[in-house]
Amino acid sequence: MIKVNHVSKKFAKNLNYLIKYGLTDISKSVLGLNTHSHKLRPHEFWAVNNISFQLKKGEALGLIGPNGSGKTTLLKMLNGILTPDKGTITVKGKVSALIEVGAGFHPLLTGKENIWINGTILGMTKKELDEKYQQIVDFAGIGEFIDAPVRTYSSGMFVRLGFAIAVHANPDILLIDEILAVGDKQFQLKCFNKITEFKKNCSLVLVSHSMANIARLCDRVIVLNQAQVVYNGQINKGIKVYSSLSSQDLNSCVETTSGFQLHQFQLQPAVVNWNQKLSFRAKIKAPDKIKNCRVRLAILSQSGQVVAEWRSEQYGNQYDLKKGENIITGQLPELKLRADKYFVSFILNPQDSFKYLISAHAYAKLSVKKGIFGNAVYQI
Amino acid sequence: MTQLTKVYQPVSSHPKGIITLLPLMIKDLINARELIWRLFLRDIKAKYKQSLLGWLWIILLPFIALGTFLLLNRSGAVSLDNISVPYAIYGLLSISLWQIFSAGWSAATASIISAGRFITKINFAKEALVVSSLGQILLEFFIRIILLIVLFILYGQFPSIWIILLPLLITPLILLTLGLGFISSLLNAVARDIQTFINVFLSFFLFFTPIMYTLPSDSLLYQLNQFNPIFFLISVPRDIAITGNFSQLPAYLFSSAISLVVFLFGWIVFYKSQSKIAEAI
Repeated sequence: MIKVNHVSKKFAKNLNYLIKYGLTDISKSVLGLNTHSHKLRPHEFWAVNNISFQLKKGEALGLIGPNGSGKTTLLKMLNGILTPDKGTITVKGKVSALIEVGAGFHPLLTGKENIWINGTILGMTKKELDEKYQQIVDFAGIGEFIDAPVRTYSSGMFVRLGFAIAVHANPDILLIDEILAVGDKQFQLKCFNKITEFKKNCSLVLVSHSMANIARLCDRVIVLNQAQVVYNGQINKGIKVYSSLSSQDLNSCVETTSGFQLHQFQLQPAVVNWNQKLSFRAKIKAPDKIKNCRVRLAILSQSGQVVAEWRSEQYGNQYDLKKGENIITGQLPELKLRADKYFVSFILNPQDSFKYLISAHAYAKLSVKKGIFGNAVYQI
Repeated sequence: MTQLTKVYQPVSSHPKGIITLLPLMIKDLINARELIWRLFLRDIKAKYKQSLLGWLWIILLPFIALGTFLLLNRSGAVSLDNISVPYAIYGLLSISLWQIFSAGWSAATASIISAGRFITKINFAKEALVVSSLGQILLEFFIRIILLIVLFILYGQFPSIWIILLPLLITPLILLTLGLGFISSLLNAVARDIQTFINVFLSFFLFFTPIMYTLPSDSLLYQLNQFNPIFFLISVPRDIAITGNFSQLPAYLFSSAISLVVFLFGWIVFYKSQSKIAEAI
């Protein structure tokens, strides 16, 4: 269905060059001169560099990669919005793209009027629209808002209507760029069902940062990094390649109440297996004697979300600090986290308040190895 | 079932000759007819939705221009001599024809930009935007023609029988506007000052072209306008419609030929560069 053969695409880095190169390219192509599009000029870069792959009928491909790796550019080339500067793309069949939902909606017109316009833009004929109109309205499920101007819509309603139109355009290939995340759970479920039903006789290319969605909907995954394909194959392996790529360090920051200092905070071991115990050791300087302090460890995912928390008081641990240097330790029970990289924050509170004596955000790194790769962070 | 196959490749590998290009261009335009119609409906619905006077503007605008020239005439700035019909009729038809060119070119220039984001998100025939932007202008023209007929009745006058040729006679003007619009919309997508430039140029050009007023034939401006196709494309259809005066027909036909060339050139430029539009927005 789709054959991508050594495709590259370049962009100018700033607006001045965009105007300059835009005008020269247009004049050259009008005059029939060679634009030398396969070479980089100063202040240009490859957004997609020498990518090849194929997609068979009925196959669902996930495109993943860090921001700026070229996913959307590639998707836009598949849809013909952008033309490649090198290589060829061959697409068989009708393509429907959801690159941004509601693109093409006119804010002053009603949902109904916009169905007609957007449907036509997506290549539906009047006959098809007559037939499918009611189905689209039903699928969108936004009730009486269908008669209201779309500028009054919430972002969720936008997505509902946009998705409803795109799936009813009866495409052979559906391109979706990270849009399902906007709808509510119920609508997401509806979309998943529709896409699954779709996959029987239609190919799918899905760009998403939600690995759960990728794992759920796709048969195969391509990992892009810095404009190139770094992996093409199985979902699970691809997601691992992706997470190793995107292992960016969170910025750690330490805040303390005056007089307190954190000299050292270590996890032992820093690399654990699934279901293994973990202990910590912290060197703290306190300005005064203080009794019954509480320690809280927060385990953060790479996106900075807290995925697990340990509170010393729940395990009966309380720490009495003396003036000057203290060493405090503690042990955490078996970690049942999926294999991934994490960060650990260390927080020291007094007994009776949530005031931070020490708050060290994303201070230590933790790797969970040899675990199971799953959708959920917590693997029971 | 035959499946649609599309190949996307670098622009420089497109066929270059006009003979190979023209059938493709016509095919694309025909395929886009439904889209053009929808966009046209969208534009007229949206335009008058959030406005106080709504459709009244179509009638109001030409009379403001008429008033301006009458005022200029009273103060001796322009001459309205040798006009055989009431000025309201003469001026209304002139300004209505002028609006096809002026408002049309301006709307066509803005058409790509005002579509904005959705050009970069959906693939569709972009010439539909330019063509449909003229639809609204033509609709306004035909509403003004109805008004013109009302004026004829009010003044107890008759137009020439050739007024029925008007739809045909404005075709070169439309082609010229489209041709210029294709190029300017493209340039405007790359550099936004094109729109401002065109609007300034158009307000100057309305005074430069003697369609709302008359000039003695020995004046410099009159001589200059012998090289102005817009002058003939507006004044000749007007004179034919009002009095059945065909005397300037050769100049009109020559201007029409220029229009056709401009139209084809603009269309080809647009067609060849439309893949660059999404990058420039």
